[in-house]
Amino acid sequence: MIKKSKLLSAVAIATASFMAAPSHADTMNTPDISAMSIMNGLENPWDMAFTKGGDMFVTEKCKGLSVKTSSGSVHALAGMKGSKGYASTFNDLFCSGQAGMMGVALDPNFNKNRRIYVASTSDKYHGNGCKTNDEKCDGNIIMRMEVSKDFKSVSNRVDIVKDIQYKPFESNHPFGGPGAHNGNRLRFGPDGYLWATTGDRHRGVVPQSPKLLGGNVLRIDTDGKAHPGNKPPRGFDKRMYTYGHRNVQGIDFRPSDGRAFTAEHGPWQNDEITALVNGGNGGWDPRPNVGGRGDCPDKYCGYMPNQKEGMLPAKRAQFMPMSDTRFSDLMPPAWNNNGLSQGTGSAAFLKGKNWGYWEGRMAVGIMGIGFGGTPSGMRIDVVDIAKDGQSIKSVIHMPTGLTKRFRGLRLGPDNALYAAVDEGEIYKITATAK
Amino acid sequence: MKGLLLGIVSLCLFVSKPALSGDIDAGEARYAQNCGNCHGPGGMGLASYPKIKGKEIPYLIDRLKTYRAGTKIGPNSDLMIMMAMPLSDAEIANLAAYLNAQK
Repeated sequence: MIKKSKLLSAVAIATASFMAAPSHADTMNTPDISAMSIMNGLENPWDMAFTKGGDMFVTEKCKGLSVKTSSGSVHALAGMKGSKGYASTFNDLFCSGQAGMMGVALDPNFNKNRRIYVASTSDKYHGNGCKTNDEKCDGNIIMRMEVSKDFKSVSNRVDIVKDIQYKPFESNHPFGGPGAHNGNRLRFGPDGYLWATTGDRHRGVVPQSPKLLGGNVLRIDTDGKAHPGNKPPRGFDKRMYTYGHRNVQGIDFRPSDGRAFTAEHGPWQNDEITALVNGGNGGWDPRPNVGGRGDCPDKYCGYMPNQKEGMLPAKRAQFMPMSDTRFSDLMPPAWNNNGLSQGTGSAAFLKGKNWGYWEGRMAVGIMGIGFGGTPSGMRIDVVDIAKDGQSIKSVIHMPTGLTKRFRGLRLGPDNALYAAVDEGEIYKITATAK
Repeated sequence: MKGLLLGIVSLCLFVSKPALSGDIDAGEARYAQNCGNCHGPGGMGLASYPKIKGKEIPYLIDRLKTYRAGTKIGPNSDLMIMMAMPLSDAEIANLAAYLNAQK
């Protein structure tokens, strides 16, 4: 009897242990995530770039370029018109609406040549253009500068791209103010070339235009010249790697194969992640009187068929597709955010064993835009993209504990993920694999 | 009789005061539903969406009622008209009170 009782107890304990184990053990080895604010009080921080030693350059959309060194000191380097306290001030640089000082990237040989690249809005090259919304307006530029060894100043500014399109005036659209859709994220690819994203600037003819820089991903050298291997269609500007985009503000390169992927804002439907193809077409064509559409407000159909109130995103997508299948050179998206547009602002592939089984996946920052019944959805997603880039295998919401407008993501040299948020902060998000 | 009349007037003023000035807590709750997505915590202003904290109550009420009436008064009017359409007078007063109180 005693023996039987002991046996029963042993069985009971073993059973309890067996049953309890799955509810406590993380058999997926999900990394532990923690987020810490490392800068605050900023004004619309937009992008970051890191030296190998951990010095962090930061752009603020309406102020300028600063650096927080690895020792913690902050230096204001290049200010825009009206900014104060910067080592240099450039009066041609201005902000308006969504436009201003945006992307920043460091030269792969920064330790030797001290070169930094910054995308910004400028009125220096307007020339005879920019008098209306319906004409060429060269108002976004890419600058190259040199950072002093003490990180306290910049010099030798050279404008390596001067003709990215800009929207100078208000138009009859939602988000219709001047300065709409500039792209302006900068990243160096594994090929050592500079990749720059641009936007359609609310002008219908821009994304499919062979000559106007807008709605593209550019691949250029550090003097602004086209990569010799770019293959845009015949007659197109050779600086274009891809064309036919709406407003690409996220770009990074998959560690396993170096392939470029973009994260792009949809209008009121279909944010997209896309595997780029050399010379490919994003399939965005907001011109009136094409694709079965008629006239549109101010010659831009991007928010049609109904730009005044909510309607089913799928119906919008049917009328005004982000990726129009009538293009034979279309790059189909790997993901469309379940048909919603919530503002995919940036992207960074996760590198390092600290990310556990998320290593190699793409982190996507989503700002949260809740119009017409769409849930706001401020978050960072971790996206597992299929090898061929044509689909995804899963999406996980990163448990950062933050509800912020995630504007800029960048992986640091310490393999932590850094996030600039519109609320004026920069967060360091660390992962610890189990 | 004069005293009674004065009392009634005073009572009416007292009773109607909350509706005129708005309820800050109720305004905060309404703001959290969708205003903060664009205008940020406490109306601080984010990205291309303007700062609205600390504005005068009559200004805020006027703007919201203008949007609610479907009148355009700026580049993001279509968005604001969509957001303001469902607002009641009381919700507008509450939102104005809440935003005015944010310093």
